[in-house]
Amino acid sequence: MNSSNWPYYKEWVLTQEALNKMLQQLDPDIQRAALEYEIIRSKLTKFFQYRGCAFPEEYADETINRVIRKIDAGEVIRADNPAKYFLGVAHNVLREQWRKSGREADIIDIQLPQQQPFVDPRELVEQEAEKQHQEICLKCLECCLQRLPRDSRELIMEYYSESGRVGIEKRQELAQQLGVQLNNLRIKMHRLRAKLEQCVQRCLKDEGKNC
Amino acid sequence: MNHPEDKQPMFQYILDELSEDEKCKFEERYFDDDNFYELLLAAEDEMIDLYIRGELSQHERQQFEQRFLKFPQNRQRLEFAKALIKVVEPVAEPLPCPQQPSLMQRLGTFFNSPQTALRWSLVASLVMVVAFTWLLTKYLHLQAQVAQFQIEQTALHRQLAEEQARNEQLLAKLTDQQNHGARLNQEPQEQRPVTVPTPAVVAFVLNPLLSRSTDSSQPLILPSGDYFVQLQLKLVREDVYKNYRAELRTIEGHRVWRGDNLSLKQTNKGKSVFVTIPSRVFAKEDYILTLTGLPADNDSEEDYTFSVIKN
Repeated sequence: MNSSNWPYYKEWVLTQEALNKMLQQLDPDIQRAALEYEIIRSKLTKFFQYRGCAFPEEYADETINRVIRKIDAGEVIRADNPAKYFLGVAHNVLREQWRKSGREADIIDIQLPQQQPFVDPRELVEQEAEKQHQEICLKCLECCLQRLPRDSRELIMEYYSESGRVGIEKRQELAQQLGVQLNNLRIKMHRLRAKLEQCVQRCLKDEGKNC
Repeated sequence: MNHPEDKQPMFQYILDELSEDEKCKFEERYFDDDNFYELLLAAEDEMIDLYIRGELSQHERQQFEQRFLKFPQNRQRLEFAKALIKVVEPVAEPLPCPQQPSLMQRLGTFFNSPQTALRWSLVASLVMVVAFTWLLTKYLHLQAQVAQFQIEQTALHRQLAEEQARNEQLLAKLTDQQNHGARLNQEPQEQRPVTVPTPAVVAFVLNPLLSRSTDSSQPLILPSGDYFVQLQLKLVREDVYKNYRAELRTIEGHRVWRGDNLSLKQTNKGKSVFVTIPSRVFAKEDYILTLTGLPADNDSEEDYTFSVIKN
């Protein structure tokens, strides 16, 4: 999917000036505006993902481009939250794409690897490489866990130590011990986990050598 | 799987169980409230964990795979979560055994009781009953074995008699054959056909026709027998359609097979449509398979040519 799939705006080119105008409308402070932009882009990608679009990031970028075009042409975002303006444009993008393909959702059935009927001899080699990759991944994860502050590390170990009903009760207890609401604990754990995942990805780039 | 009430709408959104109206309201909420959005991301983490631990129902599992795990960045989160659970899950510690009195202590308690005499007589009776029962069981078992041996012996005698009669018949037959052997012609030895087990499915990958040149036809070698031929039709076009129709024609244009309601699959080799055709449809000739995206437009057809060679 590329810009030529969207027929109306072939002549327009994104400029730094147009981008800055959009960021200004998100927040006068450029640092906060950039952060807000990233959050909006993440939400747009999530929206298109759950609406069954095969290429959610491309649809998200098209939505952002359209908003930037409108602002570049003089429009001002009047919504109390700029993100809701982007959502409105996203709905239009989605409807256009549905009309174009004459159906409700752009869904591609995905066959997970175990469902694919063909066995490629190269896959056997790839499986061995995957096994080695998993070992490096585990090593990186252990390393990244060690780099966390002690209380964060212990929190993760406690939070994920149990599953099922016992796990749910344990998490409620943890929230009480920390003096926070359970939802706040969930958000905290999500952020810790995302941070760990980023650390592991960086470590994997070096194949675990700098661990 | 019953999920806690506060997480219901999150999980329902992830699994596409909300109505259109509910979906729109949910999306407005997470666009408006960053906290709510982070709760959605946290719910995705928890659903990933439930998936890994096998705690989702069959339906939830399928929905999660189709709605969430089809995206590479989400599969990456799944792999990370598998590693995290592997590292943090503790090894179960064995439960401490409760202290039990020793055998000597228990015997001491028993024999020091005031009712020892009564207990002794009861014990003795019990031992006699147990011994008698054991002996009776043993006797009955031995009786049964003897009866079985007798039956087997009779059967063996009968079998021996039958074998002897058969031997005599074979001997007579051999004699006849030897007598007539000189008058029979040597027949050429026939080779027994080697039977090769017929496969259930034979699969091929087909690429679309990019030019009308004759050497673009792909050869398909089909063994003999009754089975299904599965063709993976790779797509190169960007456009995707909800449904596809496939029509198989000979090179002269005669239609021999048609399939409807085919859907697109994403494999690691790209987008493809799979068709399964009985082997008896194919003869040793050239074919064109036309794949049409529905609803059809000017650009929705793709052709695949191949030549069938039969073993």
